[in-house]
Amino acid sequence: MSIIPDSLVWSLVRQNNCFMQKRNGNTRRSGRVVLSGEPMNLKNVHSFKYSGLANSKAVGIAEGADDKGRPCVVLTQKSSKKVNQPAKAVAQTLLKKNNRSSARAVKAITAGTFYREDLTQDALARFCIVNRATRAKRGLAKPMVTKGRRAKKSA
Amino acid sequence: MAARPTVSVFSIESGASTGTVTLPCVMTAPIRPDIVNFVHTNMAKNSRQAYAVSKKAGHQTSAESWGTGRAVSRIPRVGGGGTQRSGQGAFGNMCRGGRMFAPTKIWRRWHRRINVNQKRYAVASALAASAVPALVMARGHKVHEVPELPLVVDNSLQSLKKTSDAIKALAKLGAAADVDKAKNSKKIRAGKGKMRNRRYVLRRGPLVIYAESDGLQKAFRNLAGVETACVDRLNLLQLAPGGHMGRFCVWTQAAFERLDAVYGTYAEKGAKSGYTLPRQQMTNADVARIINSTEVQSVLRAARPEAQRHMLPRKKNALKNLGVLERLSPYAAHARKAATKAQEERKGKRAELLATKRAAAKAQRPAKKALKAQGRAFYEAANQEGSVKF
Repeated sequence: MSIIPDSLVWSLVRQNNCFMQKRNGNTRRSGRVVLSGEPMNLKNVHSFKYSGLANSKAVGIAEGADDKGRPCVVLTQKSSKKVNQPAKAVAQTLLKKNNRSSARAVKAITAGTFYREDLTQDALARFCIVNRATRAKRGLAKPMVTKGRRAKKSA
Repeated sequence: MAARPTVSVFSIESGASTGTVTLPCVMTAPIRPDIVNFVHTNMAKNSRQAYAVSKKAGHQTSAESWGTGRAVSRIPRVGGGGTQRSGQGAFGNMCRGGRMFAPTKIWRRWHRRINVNQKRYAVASALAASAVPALVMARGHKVHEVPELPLVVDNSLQSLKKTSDAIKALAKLGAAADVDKAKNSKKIRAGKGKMRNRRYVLRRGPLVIYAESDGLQKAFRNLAGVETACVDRLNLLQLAPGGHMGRFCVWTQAAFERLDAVYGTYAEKGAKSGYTLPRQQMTNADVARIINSTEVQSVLRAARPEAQRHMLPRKKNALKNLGVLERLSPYAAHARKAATKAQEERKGKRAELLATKRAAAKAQRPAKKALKAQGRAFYEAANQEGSVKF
């Protein structure tokens, strides 16, 4: 119940948390990248700005299903007033209309209400990719081209 | 501190909120990962048992060094003959059948004394962290369906007798995901531990904390990863497993209400003798908010304009930049002009020379052609005659 500030949460979570993924080498010079598998991290990058844990305001875009079970894009948004109520803390919006109106909804939620204006571009970028994938799954678009190792794995 | 916030109490039958309790003071204690980690590492050492290799291992032989002069190393060697062992090196850690390097002793310092105040600080910190959803999630608990953190439930939880009822209660409280995660995580341990009675490893699920157990312990004990604890005997090893704080705790109302009596508040002393709860270093730890507040921003000097910040001019390369070159060498412009003029002159002269040479070549061309035709005619004639025979 004690509301602790975002910057403090970040300092507690920065060194180690269960969503952290370290890749390539041990130091920054040897090419280490620190990624994050948090649910509301738009770029999956381990940083304060993108952290879905530490920020009391955060936006997530992922693939989900609509009420008929068809894949669609789901936009999630943290409610900064219900920090201590995990079940109610995340609001969901299904983006199942056309691209343009969905993109407008993404913009409205990030920038329109002064929620997280700094995330607008990243949210749109993520929306485009996830949207393409869901549309491909529903047979509305061509499947996405996979290259390299990933393509071999799926084949 | 202002009036402490309240926490809802949830019913295990309906999962709905039935009342509220005030947040105990411990849960507002400073969150100090360094202290929690330090106390945890030292506490974890206190359940170790002494082990060592046999005192005699590697020394049960009468080996003596052969000394120098026999073209073998001076390591002690087993004496006698008639067996494979005779003449082999002994004692040294590099020898087969020798003792290990620095043989382990049972009088190693196995246990650690920890300051009581530090231990209590660590527990208070871990309790405070267990009330912050972000930290509980960061530990890896699945709490996305939990109605509220800290999660307090009515006292009927304490009198649950059956495990099936316990599972139902946890499901009602949105804790099923975490229980399942722990249950499904049971794996065979990597390494030799599995032959030393530590065969399986699994994740930790929720920690159920009670004041009085009227069957609760037995109801929950067969759930993998779920642990129970009494409020009076809270253990850091359970509150912050692995030294990572933010364990998902399920409190019974009685246990939650007892916390103030056990740890005390800032106004009153608790059951722990001579103990006062650690205080926050800052009333408001939101540094970003303080920096951006009008009080601070209004007394700050305005940011310097861009031009002033870059006082030093950028260094320019005189070999590439003509303006800088001319500033450095006043003769440069003249030299360049002279060079171009000389080049033009050379160009003109070369063209002239080429023109005269080409004219001369053109004048000679008919004579050259005639000579070539003469040669070809001779060759043809010679071919007509055929080879000369002698």
